[in-house]
Amino acid sequence: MNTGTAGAASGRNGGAAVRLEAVDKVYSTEKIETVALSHVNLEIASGEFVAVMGPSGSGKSTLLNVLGLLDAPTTGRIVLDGETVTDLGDRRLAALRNREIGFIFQSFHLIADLDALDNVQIPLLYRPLSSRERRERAETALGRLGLTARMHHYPTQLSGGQQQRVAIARAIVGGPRLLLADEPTGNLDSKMGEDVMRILEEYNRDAGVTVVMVTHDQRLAERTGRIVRLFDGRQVH
Amino acid sequence: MFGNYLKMAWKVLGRRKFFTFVSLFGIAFTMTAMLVAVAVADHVLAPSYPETRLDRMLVLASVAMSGDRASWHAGPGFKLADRYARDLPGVERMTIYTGPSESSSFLEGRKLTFRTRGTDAEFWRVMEFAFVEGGPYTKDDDEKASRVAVIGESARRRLFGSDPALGRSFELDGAEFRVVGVVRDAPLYRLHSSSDIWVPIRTITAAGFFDRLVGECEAAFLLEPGADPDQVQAAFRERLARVEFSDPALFHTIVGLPMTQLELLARLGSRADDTSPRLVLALSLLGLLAFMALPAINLVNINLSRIYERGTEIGVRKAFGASGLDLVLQFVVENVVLCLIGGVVGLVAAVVVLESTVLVAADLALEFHLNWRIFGATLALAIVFGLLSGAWPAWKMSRQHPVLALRGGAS
Ligand SMILES: Nc1ncnc2c1ncn2[C@@H]1O[C@H](COP(=O)(O)OP(=O)(O)O)[C@@H](O)[C@H]1O
Ligand SMILES: [Mg+2]
Repeated sequence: MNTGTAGAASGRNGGAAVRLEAVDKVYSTEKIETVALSHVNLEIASGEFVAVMGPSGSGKSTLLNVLGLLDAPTTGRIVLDGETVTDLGDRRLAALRNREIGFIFQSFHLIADLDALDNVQIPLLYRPLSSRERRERAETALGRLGLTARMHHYPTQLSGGQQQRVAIARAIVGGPRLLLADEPTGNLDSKMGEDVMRILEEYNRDAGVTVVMVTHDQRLAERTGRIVRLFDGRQVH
Repeated sequence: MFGNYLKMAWKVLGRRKFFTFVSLFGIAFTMTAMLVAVAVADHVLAPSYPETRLDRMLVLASVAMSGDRASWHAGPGFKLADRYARDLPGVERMTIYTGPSESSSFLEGRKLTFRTRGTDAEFWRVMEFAFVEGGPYTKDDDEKASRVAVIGESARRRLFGSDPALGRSFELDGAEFRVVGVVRDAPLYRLHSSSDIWVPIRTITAAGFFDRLVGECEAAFLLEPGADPDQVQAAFRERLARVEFSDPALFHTIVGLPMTQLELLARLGSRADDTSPRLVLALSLLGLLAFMALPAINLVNINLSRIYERGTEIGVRKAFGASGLDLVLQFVVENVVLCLIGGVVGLVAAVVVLESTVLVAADLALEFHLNWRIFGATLALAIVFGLLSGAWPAWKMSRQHPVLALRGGAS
């Protein structure tokens, strides 16, 4: 298990290992409390490809957000590469997300005001790099996803599959060790979905990056190493 | 990093042309209004022709006399200024004059109306008028109540056409006056000096004019360089305590102070009383600040909606490693850029508004022009507004949970 962030530069191998210990997530609004996650214990090893399945509202996105340090659990612990990260401050968490984690969303979430190249550079903006370096890395990432010709297109000028590939380029450009994909194929037809799936598999296999993917597609889920099922915020076996 | 924010701001603003335009319009409009206000205030408050020494002048413009059953608020009467306001310590010169009142003159069967002031001879040594013909009337003229007059250039044009006026006579409210001097017109907002015609104060024939404590006069005091206005005010307060009243059963107290221009404006519309001018000034400044808060709130609103629209962007940036501070900085830079551009547009619009006012209202001899002070004020306003109206919404948004911001779509 890789317990350090040394060798974090480009092309680094090995995925992150994450562990959730007794994690509860409760959303409280004025009137109601929603239990989105209930006593979840989950250990994901370095380099694993895990699929998360469950009906709508069962807590899949919440689980991903907690794993991605975007959302703090109400109780319980998150351990990333052996380090407890539950109580870190905003800036430390931001730095960890920036270096270690890449997100892919169902609805792509590209920034409409920026072209593909600028969108892909976003994670690099929060690192001490020269603008030339940022640009070159973004171009490389887009190239790997076959989007060299689309670098200066804005999101609205791209098809859904192309947008998701830009989003994947954005997720991998910083060389993360944990990729979190929330229904990445949910808005795509089966052919484009297959493309995206293959990219994730390749990235998992070649770079050893840990991948956690939420999906409703049983056939895609079966291609991963393990399926985690949620029901009403609980893990079911 | 900063350059990055700038570049990003530029891209986003350029990409959202409509929104940028709407924001810019709002900002520029606000800036224009504020700049015009600043320019007018600047010109009313700053020394300028013919009140070139306004910064060391105090003016006694209103007093209040009271007794057990009655009170009377008005300007100081001639007697009050003449008997009790002379030779105050720290005062170099003092003049007594009336406010401009309307007089009429019949010229070849046509009735012309003029603003006329009665002034003593010292008036011409406290105010600094530029004479284009002749000169001021003298102390001797005033004491003898000679019917002589100084007229402004526009009054000369109306009375005598394009001819020189020196030595010529005209009729004013039924009496004949001889022109001894012609001056360059004073702008209307030179509250203590501007008029069309000036005549010796002792030519005034109204009954009892010279015996009143309260009346239609003003007294202006030119302080010695470095004199402390507070001490002059204190000395005048003491003088007022010694005023002799003709009928103490009716009136027995009188209050009122010579004040700086700022203090006078702060009190505009309110009556003379003994409250500290400082306090009134502080309160007025507070009011002004509250007034300025309105455009600021407007800008915050514009920016708030601009930033709210970009909840997803904020979520994405947070997900990929932006800290709260990064986001605040990004939006603040974007905003300051926007406000600076708006400031420039506003400045141009303000120049147009001011200069066209000057042109349209040529009669009023206004002199509202922009200067470095005002330019500096714009720059400062733009930056302050940019910071304030950007930082708060951005901070608010950066607190918002990225997960919420990203929710649209992730079922
Ligand atoms: N920010 C939030 N505030 C309140 N309730 C929330 C919030 N986010 C999610 N929930 C609730 O938590 C539960 C799990 O949501 P989610 O993780 O999005 O489910 P899934 O992704 O499996 O559809 C749902 O009942 C949802 O309504
Ligand atoms: Mg979901």
